[in-house]
Amino acid sequence: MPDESTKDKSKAEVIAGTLNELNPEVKGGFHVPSCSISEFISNAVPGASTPQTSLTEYIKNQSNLTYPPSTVPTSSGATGTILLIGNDLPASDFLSLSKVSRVLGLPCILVRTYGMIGSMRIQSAKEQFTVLQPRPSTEKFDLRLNSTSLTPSSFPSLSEFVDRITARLKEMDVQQHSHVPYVALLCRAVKQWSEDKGSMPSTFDDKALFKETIKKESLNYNDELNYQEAVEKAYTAYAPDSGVPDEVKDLLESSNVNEISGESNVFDILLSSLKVYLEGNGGMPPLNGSIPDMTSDTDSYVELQKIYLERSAKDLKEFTEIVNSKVKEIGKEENHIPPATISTFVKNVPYLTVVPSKSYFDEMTNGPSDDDKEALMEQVWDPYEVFEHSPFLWWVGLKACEMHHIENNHWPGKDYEKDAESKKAEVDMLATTMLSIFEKYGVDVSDMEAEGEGVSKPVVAKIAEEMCRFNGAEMHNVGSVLGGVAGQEAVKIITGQYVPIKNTYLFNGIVGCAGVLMG
Amino acid sequence: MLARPDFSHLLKRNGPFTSETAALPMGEHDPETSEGTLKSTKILVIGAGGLGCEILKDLAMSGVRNIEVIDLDTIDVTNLNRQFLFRQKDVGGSKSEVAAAFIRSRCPWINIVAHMGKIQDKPVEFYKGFDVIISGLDNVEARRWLNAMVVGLVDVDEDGDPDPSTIIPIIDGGTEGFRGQARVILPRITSCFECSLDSFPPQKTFPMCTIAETPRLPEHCISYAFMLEWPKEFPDKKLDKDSPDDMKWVYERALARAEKYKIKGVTYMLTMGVVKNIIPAVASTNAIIAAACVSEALKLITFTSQTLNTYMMYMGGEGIYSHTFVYEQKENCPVCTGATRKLTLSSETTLYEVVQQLINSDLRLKKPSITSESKTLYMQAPPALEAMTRPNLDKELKDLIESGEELSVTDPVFPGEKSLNLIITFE
Ligand SMILES: [Zn+2]
Repeated sequence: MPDESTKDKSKAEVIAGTLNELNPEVKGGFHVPSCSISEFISNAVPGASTPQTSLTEYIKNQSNLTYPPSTVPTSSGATGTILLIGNDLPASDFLSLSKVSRVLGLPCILVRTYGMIGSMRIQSAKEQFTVLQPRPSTEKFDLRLNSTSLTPSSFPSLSEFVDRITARLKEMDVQQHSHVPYVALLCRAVKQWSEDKGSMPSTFDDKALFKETIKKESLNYNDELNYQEAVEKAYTAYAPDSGVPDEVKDLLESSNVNEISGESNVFDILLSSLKVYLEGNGGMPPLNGSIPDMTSDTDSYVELQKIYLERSAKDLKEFTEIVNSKVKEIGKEENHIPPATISTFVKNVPYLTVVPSKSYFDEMTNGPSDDDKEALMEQVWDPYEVFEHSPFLWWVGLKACEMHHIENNHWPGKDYEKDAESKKAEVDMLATTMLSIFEKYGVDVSDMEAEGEGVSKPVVAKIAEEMCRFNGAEMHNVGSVLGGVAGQEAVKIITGQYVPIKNTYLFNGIVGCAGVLMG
Repeated sequence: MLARPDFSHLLKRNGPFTSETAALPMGEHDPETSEGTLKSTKILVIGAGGLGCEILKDLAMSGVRNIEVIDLDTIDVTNLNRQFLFRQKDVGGSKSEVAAAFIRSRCPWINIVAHMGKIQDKPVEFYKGFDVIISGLDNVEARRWLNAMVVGLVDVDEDGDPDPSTIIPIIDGGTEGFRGQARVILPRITSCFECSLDSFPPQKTFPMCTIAETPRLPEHCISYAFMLEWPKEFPDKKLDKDSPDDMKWVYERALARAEKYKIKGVTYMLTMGVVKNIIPAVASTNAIIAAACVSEALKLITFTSQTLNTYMMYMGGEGIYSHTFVYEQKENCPVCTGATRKLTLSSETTLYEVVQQLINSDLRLKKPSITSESKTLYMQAPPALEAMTRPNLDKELKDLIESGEELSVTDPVFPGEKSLNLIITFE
């Protein structure tokens, strides 16, 4: 918090100072350009291109930051070291910043607060965010039950374990029998089924029968948690093992992956190695080695953990060899991709996530694609409990205000106090702009005169009036909500951990609801 | 760039979404007076930790002039990375006092009073003095107590209608990692904290037989060390979760057990996490939830806008998922409906079993005491009374009460005078 002594100082300087005070590990710097911010961002000062007048030059002259963005991810997988964040700039400056970020190959975040409304637009360095460590709330386990049962040679150590432990089932006492890990029970059941029937259960009746066979083998189904787990997880054994997520398969076909060179970033090199690995291993990725908790005696569980870990280490070794030969192929040094990065990649193959990211500049200049329209439409008709507070409507309201600002160089609502007529004129003008945006997004407002269903003119008029009332007011708490949200997204982008949003987050502080708008 | 208008600008203008237009109208927005109302209002902030620091800063930056803050804790070195009102030199000091001093130094126009202590030790009169209470606590029991206290302050007439002048809104915020929630509680009008107790599940526990006989995970070994080994080794000493010595003991024992079973992954951090059931706090989540809470408080005070109705959830791990909805009042909420609990039990049930049932049911009581109209059945305190009533625990209900008799239950999770009506009918 700035105090009295900071009066008349540069805002940038004061904020950098308080940042350093907040956390001694933060190295906060500041820069005061010699031209206007608009000229600085758009590199628009004629003839002169210095760090004082051009964002591009300023970035290129950073000694403590890496530019161009490092192609080697940090241990956490980030591929860039610079993130541009624009706060509450006029809409025209947001456009310039969006454009220059894509040219520089840097991600950016554009944050705006407007009265009780706040928005955050995020944009990746290239066409998409590739998330190396999404850290999802639910784990996906790659246990290879199906392939191991059908082709024991594909995972001999697991297959041997299953045979050994299930061979003893009949001699076991109640305590032992109820602690045989479900993984072994399922593997055996699938093997048995395929030997008897020559295929996997596919119809509803077959699947029910499969489960019934497992139940019958238990001593007392209600007491044997391991058998209950086996029935619950039966589908993981009779369905083919899941390879890599579909969106990752799509990535493997992209030209960045198929034509790697010395310029390629690490992520693409890893993906192109994955492609080679998949081709040599029947479409299955290197095993990541983690197994879920399950009812079991300690020894069997520890042994099972070891089996998966050892296999994972073997797969990692094979994968690393492919990576290293790729690295050599493109003329890079041996340790171009550190082992820790390769291992993180392998652990996360089941989770690799891609978030497409359109630039704000593209959104504003080219308008929505048909897919965008469709995605947005779903959000219009899936509103917050009170329709007039649906984030989509207020997003359109905010866009209208930005357009108003570009045209008039001030926010709507300036003449609110003058007289009723001036106020009405401003509100009507903003409502008209909003209607034109709705039209652009394919929302029909023309014949909805009555309030009630969908986007109606009375609802649009109310939102326009409230936006005029706000008149661009700056509210500390809306700023603080958006600051927190932007901080969270910035950490996601920089570390490559957790999943960033797609495009825009909109906060409606009137009722405290929010939504993510993908258009 | 031109200076932009601030909050006072909104207070001076009327609009189509002021409080009186809302699903929960609390008053009429008056552009002439609302700025004055904001300056004279008095707000209580409970908790001066991660959320509390943010809440205090937000209030100070929004034009509130009278704030009181209460917290029991002192500043620990591990707080410094996110509890930004504290510096290295403040370690060991009272959280509420240091936070208040910081706000005073930067915003000398604000009148801020600090209280160091437990909320349960403050009298009813203390709570009556505030217009709004904002709670940034991480502890379910304290939130239950506060909620029951403030709900108890509302005067209800013969028709069951609350007297609006006795309603003190509670804004409750909580965070856990990338998740958080903010909610508005208008006592006797909306659902209360107790209504939503089910959404705060009790600490996750593992089956005792797994812990004792077939451990598989590092968590099982840690649970074994603190649940079974500690009481055996130190029968008279309660484990202090904040004592590094105690925690180190648990960690070492867990490690030894893990080695015995060849289980990997017992670390000191995991030990802390399992014993305290903590998910690390994330500074940005605190910022979001605190600001959302303060924003609601300001709207409730000035009527300048509608309010959250009633619950906002924020989940920031996979993209951002934000959900706002009306949290419905629980039909038989023991705190805000005054409903009588009805149990049908065998007349041979012992009083001890009834006490256990009250602890383990959805009521989640801690140490219930039970009285009937004519006699004291069981009292947990004071010790003399406990000893005198203890023999009743082994008695069967048929020897203590009549079927259908109205009983009264008190418990330390609720403030002193708050009691729960219970009717036990024999099968
Ligand atoms: Zn309630």
